[in-house]
Amino acid sequence: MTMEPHKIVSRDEWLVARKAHLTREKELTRLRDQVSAERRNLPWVKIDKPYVFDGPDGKETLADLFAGRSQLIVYHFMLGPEWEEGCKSCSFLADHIDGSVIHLAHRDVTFVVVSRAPLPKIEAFKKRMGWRFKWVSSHGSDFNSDYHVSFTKDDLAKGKTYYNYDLRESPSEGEAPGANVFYKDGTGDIFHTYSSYARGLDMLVGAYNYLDLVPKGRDEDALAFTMAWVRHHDRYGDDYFVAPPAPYLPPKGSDSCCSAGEDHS
Amino acid sequence: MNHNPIVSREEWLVARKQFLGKEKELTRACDALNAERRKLPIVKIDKEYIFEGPTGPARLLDLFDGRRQLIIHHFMFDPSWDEGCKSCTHFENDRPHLPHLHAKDTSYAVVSRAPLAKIEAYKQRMGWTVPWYSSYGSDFNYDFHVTIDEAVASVEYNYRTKAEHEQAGTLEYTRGEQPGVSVFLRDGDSIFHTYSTFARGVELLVPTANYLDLTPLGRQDA
Repeated sequence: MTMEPHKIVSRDEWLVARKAHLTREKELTRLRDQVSAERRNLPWVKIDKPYVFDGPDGKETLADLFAGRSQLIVYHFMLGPEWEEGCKSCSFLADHIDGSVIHLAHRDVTFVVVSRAPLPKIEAFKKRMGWRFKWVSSHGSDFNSDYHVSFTKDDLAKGKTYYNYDLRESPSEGEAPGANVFYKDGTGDIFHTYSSYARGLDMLVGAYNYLDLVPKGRDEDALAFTMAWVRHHDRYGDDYFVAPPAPYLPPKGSDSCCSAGEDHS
Repeated sequence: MNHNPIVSREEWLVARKQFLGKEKELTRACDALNAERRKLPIVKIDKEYIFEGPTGPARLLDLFDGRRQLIIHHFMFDPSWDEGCKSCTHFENDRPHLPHLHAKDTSYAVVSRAPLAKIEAYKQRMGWTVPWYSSYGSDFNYDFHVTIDEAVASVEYNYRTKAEHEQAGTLEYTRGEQPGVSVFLRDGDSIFHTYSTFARGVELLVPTANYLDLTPLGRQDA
């Protein structure tokens, strides 16, 4: 494991260094506050296209997904129709969703996960992972393509796909991670307010926020891509350790590895 | 709430891409600050702390559970309280899935000053399985500045003295239980304190707040 040697000092000396770092942390907190405020001032786009999803209780429109609240967050979980299990990196993020859902609901936010796999495949994987959040299928809908998180064979054949507001090399697995935010007003009109992809999703992974506090940090520099160490939470060894250089196995059924955290900064 | 300007997809994209540049700057500023944090000096812990845990008394060393790094959530639960703090409970609901931290050689434990029986009852009510220890009767909470009592030690919370809190108008931070997260490193049997964060530094760890930051209404806590 890579770790720089640390200078061992008295508590008084540590306090001097810690307070200097605290000033920098506070600056960054204020910068985050400012960026969040700017985000809330972005313009919106009215959504006129009807989208229908398969959910646990049958067909649901985008409006239905709000479940009576005015704000909707959609997490686009990479689980393609042919895949046998969900993406490891998305599963890592999804391990942090259940704790947030009830608190978000009390802030007028409904949280829903969407994947392109048919519903039975979603439900089987959800059960295996022990998750409770709402997860619907966009199978057969344009939803994923319109929000730039799924790519058709035609898209992929062109060699470049549009993701994170730019053209990039096509992901051979055909799916990519993202989050979308929608607002529904009193008249029932729906607006798209925000989309985020790639490293824009990092801060939603609680374990990353914690790892940023420990001496070794995320410790990913030597890996093939940032989340190469991540496994499904039921697939770590008994002692939880994973061998960092071990190859990253792609989800079964996908063509290649889903390098969700790779090269998107 | 009032609508933000409603525009075409093309116009939205112009604004969004411009904002993406700012988000990327912020991401890089976070990366840089995280790198600086890892260079902070560390302090050797020579004092022996004994906690009460589910399987009996435990030393700070035991809380590492064999791993090299330990994160402690200082959960506000005064011995006289009947239940744990609501905000700390929210924080624990958002706790990271521990196998991922374990895979990174990092243990996670919760410590409160309430006696173990109160902790265990509350933990059961919440349906949690997280390792949660009592520091009742120990100096631990005072030494790591999450229980503030002038009769025991001079006030220091979030690296501010009592006079500084008085000046800042944050007198609520000058007595009783306070929230925080502390990080320790183990080298053999030697233990080092590397980092502590308090107040809004704790808030950044919770995905709920970060999700709310993406929504039109924001955190709504003004």
